[in-house]
Formats: sequence, C-alpha cells, structure tokens
Amino acid sequence: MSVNTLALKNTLRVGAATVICCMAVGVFMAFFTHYFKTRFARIIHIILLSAFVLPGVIIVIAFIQLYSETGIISQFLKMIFSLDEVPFRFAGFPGILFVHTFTQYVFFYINTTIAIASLDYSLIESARSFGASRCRVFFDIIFPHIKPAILTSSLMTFAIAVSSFSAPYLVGRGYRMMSTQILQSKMNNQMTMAATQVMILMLISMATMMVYSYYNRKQFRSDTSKIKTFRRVSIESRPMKILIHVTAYLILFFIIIPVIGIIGLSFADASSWMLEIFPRRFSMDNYIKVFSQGRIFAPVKNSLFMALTAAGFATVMAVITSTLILKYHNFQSRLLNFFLMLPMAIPASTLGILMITTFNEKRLILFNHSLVGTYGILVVAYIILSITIVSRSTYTAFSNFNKEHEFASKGLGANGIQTFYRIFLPIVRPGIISGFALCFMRSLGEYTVSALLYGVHNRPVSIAMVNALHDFDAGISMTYGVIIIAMGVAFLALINMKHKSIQVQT
Amino acid sequence: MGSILLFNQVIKSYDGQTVLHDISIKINDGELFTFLGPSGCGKTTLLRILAGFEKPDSGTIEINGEDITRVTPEKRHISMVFQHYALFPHMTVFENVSYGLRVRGVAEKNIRAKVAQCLDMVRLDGFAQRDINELSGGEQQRVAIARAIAVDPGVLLLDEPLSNLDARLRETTKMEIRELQKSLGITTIFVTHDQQEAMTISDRIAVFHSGRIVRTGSPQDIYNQPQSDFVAGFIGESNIIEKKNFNRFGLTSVEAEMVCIRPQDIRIMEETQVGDLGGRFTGRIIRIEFRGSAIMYHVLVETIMIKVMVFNTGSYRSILPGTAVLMIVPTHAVKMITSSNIAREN
Repeated sequence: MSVNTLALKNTLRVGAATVICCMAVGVFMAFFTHYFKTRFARIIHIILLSAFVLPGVIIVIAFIQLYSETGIISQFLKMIFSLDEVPFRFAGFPGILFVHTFTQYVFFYINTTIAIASLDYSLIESARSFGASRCRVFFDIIFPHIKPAILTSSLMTFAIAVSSFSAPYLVGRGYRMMSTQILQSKMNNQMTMAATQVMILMLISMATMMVYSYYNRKQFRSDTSKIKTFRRVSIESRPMKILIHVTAYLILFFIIIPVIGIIGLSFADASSWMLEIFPRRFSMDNYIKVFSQGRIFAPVKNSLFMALTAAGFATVMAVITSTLILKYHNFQSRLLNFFLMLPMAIPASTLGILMITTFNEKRLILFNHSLVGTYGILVVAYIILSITIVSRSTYTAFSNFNKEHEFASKGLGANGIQTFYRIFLPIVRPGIISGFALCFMRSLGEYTVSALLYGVHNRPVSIAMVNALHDFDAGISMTYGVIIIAMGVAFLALINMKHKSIQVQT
Repeated sequence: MGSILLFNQVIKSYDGQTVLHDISIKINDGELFTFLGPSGCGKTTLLRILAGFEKPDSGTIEINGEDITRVTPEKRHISMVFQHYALFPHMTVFENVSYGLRVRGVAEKNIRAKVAQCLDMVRLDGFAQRDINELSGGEQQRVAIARAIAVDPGVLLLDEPLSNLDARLRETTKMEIRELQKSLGITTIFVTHDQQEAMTISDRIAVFHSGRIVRTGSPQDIYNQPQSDFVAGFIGESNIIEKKNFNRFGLTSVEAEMVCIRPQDIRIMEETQVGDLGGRFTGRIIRIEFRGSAIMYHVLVETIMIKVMVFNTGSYRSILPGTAVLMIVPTHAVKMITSSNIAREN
C-alpha cells in the first residue's frame, strides 16, 4: 500500500472513529445538562462550551504533558501501581482519537442541547397520556427530534476530524494522515504532490460540507407555532442516577484536566520539572519572563495584533456582505453567499498550501508583490479561515432583526441614520461581537495554517508554544497557553452577553 | 390634535395580484375609525400605506388637505402601535417612551415630564426603569401606546393591538384605549378582524373583503343594515335566506333576492304552546349551544339549518334537542340584502 493510500485510509478511519466517540460524549453530556435534572448543570454547560473557543493546539500540548510517556498522569499511574512502564501509549491512532474526542465533541453537544431545548414538552405529555413508557417516549418522540442534530453534527465533526492537523502532527508519532502528509510534501519541496494531496483532502471536506449544508437547511426549518417549554426529567432509579453522574463527571474530568494542567504547569519551574516526575517548585518566573523579555513576548504581541486585525477585517466584510445578501435576492447575492461558505469546506492545511502556491509570485492584484514571507499573509489566512463563521453570526443577527422596530422608529420621527445607530446597530451588535470574538479566538491560537505560513517577523504564539515545548521550556509553553485561555474566557463572557442582553421579541 | 384623513382611489398590487382595489375613505377629525375584515383582506396593507411603510401603486392620501403620499414615514406625524408592539428590546420603558421625543431634539426636562405624563395615562407610573423583557404582555402593550402618544401624533394607528392579550385583559384594555383616544381627541385607526371588538370601540367601521371596502358606517348602521351577505355574515350572526326559500319561512310577500334574519329576532316556542300568532314556520331543534347569557338553537327547517337566539333570563326553560318548534319573524326584523359578495354554489 502506498504512503498516500495509507494516509487516505487512516484519515477516513480517524474521521469515522472521531464521529462515533464525539457522538457518545457530546450527546451524553447534552442529555446530562439539558434533559435530566442534574446538579451544577449550568456550570458544567459553560465548561463544556469552552472547547469551542479554546484553540485545539493548547489542549493537544496539555494532553501531551499529562498523558505522554513522560506525562504527569501516565507517570502517576505507573508509580502508584508499581508498573514497569506507563499503562497506555498516548500516540498514534488511539492518541489522536483521544484528543479529538475531548476537543471536537462540542458540535454534538451544542446541536443536541439546542434540539432538546426546542422539544415541545406537550408532545411528551401527549405520548405519556396514551400510555407510552419513558423508553417508548424516547424512541418515538425524543430521538426523531434530535436525529437531524446528530446527523449534521456527524458531518461537521467528520469534516473537521479529517482535516485535523495539530493532533496528528503532535500526537500521531508517524501515524500518517492526509493533513500531515501535505506538510511532509511541502517540507520535501514536492509541491505537485502536496497540491494533489490538497485536492483529495479538499474533495472529502467539500463533499461532507455539501451534505451538511443540505441537512442543516432541513434541520432548521422550524415550526413557529407556540410550544410548551421542555421540562427536565428526574432520574428515578438510584443506581442509574449514580452511573449517569459518575460517567458525566469522568468525561468532565478529561475535559477540564488539560486546562487545569496548563494553568498549574505555567507556574512550574521547568528546570526542576525536567529532573523529576512531578514539578516541585512553583513561581511566577515564567510569567515574568514572558512579560519582561521582548523576544519571548513578541509572539503574544504578533498573535494579538494579527488576530485583532483579522477579526476587524472579517467583521467589516461580514457586515457588508450580510447587508448585500439580505438586500438583494438575486444570483449575485447567492454567489456571494456561496463564496462566504466555501472556506468552511477548505481544511486549514489545504488553505496554507493553496496560499503558498497562489501568492509565492508577484501578482498584479497585490500591486506586483508576493505575499509569501510577509507579515500580512497570516492575517489574510486567518480572515479566510474565519470569514464563514463571522458572516454566519452577522447574517443571523441581521436576518433576525425585526423590521417592525425600524418601522416603529421611523414612525416616531427618526430618520434613516438615527434608526441605524439607535435601533438597528444596538440590536444586531451582539451578533457582530460574537463573530468578531470567534474570529479573534480562532486566529489567536491558530496552529495549522500558521505552521505553513509563518516567518521570522510574524511568529504567532501557537508556534512559539510548540517551539518552546521542543526546546524543553514547557513552563513558557504553558504560560503562553494560559494567556490565550485568559483571553478565551474574557471573550466567552462577551459572547454570553449576547444571550443576556437581548431577547428578541417575536 | 386630530386630523382629517382622506384616502383617494388607493390601489396596491403585489406580484401582479391586486390587494387593494380603488380605496376611497374620509376619516373625520378625532374619530376612532376601524378597518374590519378577515385575514388577508388588505386592511393592514392600507394601514402600512398610511404609515408610509408601503407605497401605493396609484391614488393619494391626504392629511388635513396635504398630500402625504410621497412623504417619508418620519415626516408624516403618524404613530403606530404594532401588533407585536415592536418595543426596542435594548431600551428600558423610559427610553422606549422617550425615543420619539429624543429624536425630535426635545429638551431633557420636557422629555421627563412628557414620559411621566404618558406612563401615568396608561397606568404604568413606577415602571420607567424596568426592562422591556420584565413586563407582561399587557404592560408591554401599554408601553407601546405610551410611546405612540408621547409624540402627540396627528394620527394614531393601532394594528390589532389586542390580539396578543387574554380575553379578560382584552376587554379592559379595549375600553381604556377608547377612553384615552376620546380624552386626547387623536384621529385613530384601529385594525382588527374581531367584529365584536370593532362594534364596541369604533365611531365608524369600514368592512374589508378581498381588498375592497364593502360597507362603511357606524356600528349600529352596519349591524342593522348590513346590505350585503358578506357583511351580514361577518358582523354578528345571521341567517341568510335566498328568495327560492322564502315560502318555507312565511316570507311570501318580501320583495328581495335575499334576506338576513338575526338569530335573536326569531321567537321560538314548542309547537304545543302555539296559539294564533300570525306568520310562522316550523322546524326541529338539532343542536343547542349554551352561551351563558344566551342560548343558540340550531333548527332544521326542511333542509335548511337556521340559528335562533334566545336570551337566558334564568327563569327560561330550555327546549330539548329533537323537539318540533314553531318560529315567528316580525316583519321589521327581515333585512333586505341588496348585493352579494359571496359566490354561491346554487
């Protein structure tokens, strides 16, 4: 079997296995927080959502610190059970699958929670009144209702898993996947081979995204009739209650532990830690180093600047395109919509290669300059990577805007400009901020495309994190991680404001 | 404060389908005028044309003699209360009510006084700093009214403002709107599909059917002289009897193509009680509908089902289904139908 065939087979295998594992975790946790009456559901919900804004590369690095051969948890288990070697091998297919499961469950989780929340409780009451058991109600009423959410989440997760780069690259240890093969070909300067691999990966992603788009339209064809709000169900059997809680808290442990690990290890003295299994000395030294030494702080500065610029440009583009798409219902607006959706179907590694091959020569569109090697190339890449999600967020906010608010404002004497600034903008602002925040977070911790396109002057924090790890400076690496997480938490709070500040009137 | 409104031959089409046919109405100063009709009859479209949110294909609209057909909404001096209120969700009650004054550049001191006055009028004093999402449906509706009247509009438009309220609240709010409108003297247009609501609140009513106004008049005129079978059927309950069936109802001397008899105008009694009461017809009770203060009998007269209403006085003894009954219609209760808006099968 050729290397490329093996990589293709492995890619599909990882994609399928990721879907199954993420489905188990995401759907189970959605039921735990939204279907059953459980304690701390709100806090657990917020923790589970954090995976949406935390860059994957940070979690991968944290997992390495915890579960690799020299990892804290592996060594801890080896020590307490007096084993000759660590009890598991955190590498290859199982390693990638483990990372994917606890970082990519989020689509299943979000979509299933939305489906459960929109379930009309009167349907359940009606079925129960006809004598249906709880089990029967689940299979006849609940499952058909959440099935479209599961289907679309499967497709979304599959598309992301097959194009995943950081987990196969950092944890794979020689396990070949298409995304890592592309980097390999690029490093060997086999650009034709890289382009072919890019095309194969892009075809898989695009086919998946097309099916996703078809089912997503079906899923959200909602009924506008009044529904009875879903009421959480108590778990009556005590053993079942214990089993469900233990499973949920175990999953939660795997999700939280990398974040706790990053925070804890960012205070560890790296030199002492290299000599012993567990870090013994903790201090603020890593933070002092990052914030006091310009060279070490430069990647943070670069990433902040590039992420803010990308988010700013993407938001402006999203506002303009959303306005145009909603205003004109013609072929051009549909074409514009298609172009905005297209980047979602392009894996990051593919985008990186496409940008190298497209912009490595002087182009008229770039005023006879080449983009490769410039500071701006990463900004452009970040914009392309996030434009779909930013424009979706803006478009949704714009299309949900109740035209009657505009009419009411004008009827009360406000002109077009007053109506835009006083009514339209404040109402749609949460959607715009959400888009901006998501683009900012994705760009801040982006690794895949950065690994292909970064240069000396624009080295981002995600690359610096991995480099620090390779230089055995895990403390600095973890400190970079904490800085990104802190910004992630701040932005998550910002996005949360969207739900608190506005309850759009129907 | 009021204004005289004139719709002159207004026509509006969407995708080649005419939704308003040649509408001409004059609405007097300080009048509460109701557009009444079933869903899709064009009443809200006409309201939106008046507000300036839609443009008519042809025809003009005048306020106090001034043509406002091409004037932008913000310059028309018309306030509207929307069916779903359209309160600005990011603003408090105070900010919503003061919005119109603020965009007009009114001084802050005057804004505070005016908002307080308007909230007092709708009995919401003490609610100024509340968020819109904290209010009940009825309270939101009052805020929407306060916001609309705060700018002292020349014309007030109410687009089905009671449709989202429960039956009890609808009753009280209806009367409050009427009293407020009378005290302020604002020319008001009220849109509804509820004929009971229209009858109670209006000075005059225009009944809409398929984009046309089929009857205009006071509630009493329309009820007593519906003139068309559609109006007779839409306003109150009625029995429409065609000429070919007149002899079955003892209406042999009536000269009309169709007549309307209100259920409460028919006297009903058991056949065994009948003395010599003159013009009469017989039938059999099929179904009884108890309505609290009244009882509606559904009576089969040969092959025609008619409705007969009897007021429930407490001492009234209901007639049982299946009983053969005799009915009498006084001559004054037979209303001539001069036009038909409904296509009949036979």
